[in-house]
Amino acid sequence: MTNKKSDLSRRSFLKMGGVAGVALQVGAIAGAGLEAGQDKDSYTGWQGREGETQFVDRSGLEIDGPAYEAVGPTRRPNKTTEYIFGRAYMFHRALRGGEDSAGWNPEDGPEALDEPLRSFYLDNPEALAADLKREQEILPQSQEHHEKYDPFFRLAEAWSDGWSDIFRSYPRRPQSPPIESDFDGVHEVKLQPRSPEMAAELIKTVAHHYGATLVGICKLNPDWVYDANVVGGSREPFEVPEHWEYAIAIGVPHEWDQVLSNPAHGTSYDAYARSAVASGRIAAFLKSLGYPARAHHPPGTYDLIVPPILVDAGLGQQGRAGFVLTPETGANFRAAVVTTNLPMKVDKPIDFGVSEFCMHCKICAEQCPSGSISFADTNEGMTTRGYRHWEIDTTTCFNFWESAMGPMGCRLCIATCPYSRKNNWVHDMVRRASTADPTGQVDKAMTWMQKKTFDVPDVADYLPPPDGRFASYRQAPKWLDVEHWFDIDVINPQKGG
Amino acid sequence: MFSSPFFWFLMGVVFVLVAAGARAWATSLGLRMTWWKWLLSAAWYGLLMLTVSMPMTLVGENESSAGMRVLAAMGLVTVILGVGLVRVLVRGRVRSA
Repeated sequence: MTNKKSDLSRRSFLKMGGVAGVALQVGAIAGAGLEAGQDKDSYTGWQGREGETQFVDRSGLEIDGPAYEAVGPTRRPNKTTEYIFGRAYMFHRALRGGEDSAGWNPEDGPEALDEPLRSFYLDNPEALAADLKREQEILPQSQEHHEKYDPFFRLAEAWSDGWSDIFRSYPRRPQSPPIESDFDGVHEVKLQPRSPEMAAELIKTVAHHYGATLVGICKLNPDWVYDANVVGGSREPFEVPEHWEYAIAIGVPHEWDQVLSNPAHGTSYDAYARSAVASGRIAAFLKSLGYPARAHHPPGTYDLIVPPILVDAGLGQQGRAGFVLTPETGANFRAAVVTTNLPMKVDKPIDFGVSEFCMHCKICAEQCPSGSISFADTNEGMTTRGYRHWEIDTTTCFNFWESAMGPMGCRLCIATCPYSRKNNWVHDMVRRASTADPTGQVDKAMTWMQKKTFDVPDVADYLPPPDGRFASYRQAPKWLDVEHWFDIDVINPQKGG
Repeated sequence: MFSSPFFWFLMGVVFVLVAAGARAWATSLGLRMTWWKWLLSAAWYGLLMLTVSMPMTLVGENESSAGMRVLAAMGLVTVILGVGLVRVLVRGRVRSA
């Protein structure tokens, strides 16, 4: 009898203890989940410099390449007409004229423009219309908006200015052609690496310490080098220097909370500055080892186009919006490249399913306020300089930049890409499942889930008033909320002010 | 706090209590538990934990509305599967225990 009672009381204790344990575990797992979402260690690239930021093992993802499909005669890009910033600058100068010359009159047609703009606009009349619209409508309207709303976006601009300030002095822009400036400061004693493998390992280790979140190495394909106007040299065409044998590609993400508050509160300059500084340091490091080097870095010190080099170096794959997605940071990173002739083991391109993913996702196209990203199911027929790849309309894209408030740019395609996620357990689990699933069904399920569960502004809300309200994809983080820190006399335009 | 090894050690200790409690409840209710019924029960418990932690992680990264929608969807699935699990567990139950 006593034993039975004891048995019952022990069982009752365990039953009650079990119920209490479940309640405790549910509460604890909720707290653990919340903390995982807030965990600063999930801010890839902003938590350390020891190389753990490149945490995806690429050995199972490597392909023999080539990473790009050449579908016709290939050629090098033109920095003036095919580089939107170069063309916008030249067109602005042509339109405004100089002290001793009248500007171009649109009524005279593109024939009246100087080369290379004349040929480019005759071949691309839609680009001329868009460039004219920018100069005649968008920029004046943007000026009015800046005068009216500036204080509301000033904190975001100040944050951006803090990053961009370094470009006044570093990295130092080459003042002479590569054959001179790349050898300037090269140590007279050239250290010979024990092997290309060890050289690559050393460079990657050092690059991470210098602040690179991602590092990859490849041979430089000359097709990615601009055909003229080398930095530090003349505007004339130039041969790709022999010592640009290898390309060290690096990437650094934007701060993870502000990137979600694009376009109004994000900036390009945080990641620009960090990747540029890292590339400058890598170049200086190489020179000190006895090897010529040149850093090609944002915001405009490039002699080459960067995305295909990132692909060649195994950092990621090109996505629908034209930029490269990496397994660790998705589209959220900015890149720089260092060219050198230090013999290094090169990386292989990788395939982690981006090509298939981008065919059905289309979130970036749906959220693009300028309609610059294609909705096509495949990139069939999209060919640039002989290579097949996703194309975007850089002119309309740039026009939206000029109409937006806050630090210049948009970056919505970066923010909305499902791959651009912090490294907490939820996104890590999805990332692993997605990479391991050859059928693509996980990708489709996750894309569907993102579209059904994540709030998004109406795409017109991103536009300036009166059509839109300068919306951000997500609210600015508290530390970028100007109304939290300052008294301002501007009504929040994002709330219809 | 929640990411420390000590937290997960405590979670392990509490889980032992949960497992012992589950066994006591099964005995008390006269359930004829087999290995596969225990396995199903453990899987459902894992799903319950996932249903709670995944939305909370989304809330933690400022995606509260997404978190609540995921909670509603996964919660519904968890409840439905839970009801199904109970029906499986009570089959062949010994009522006089």
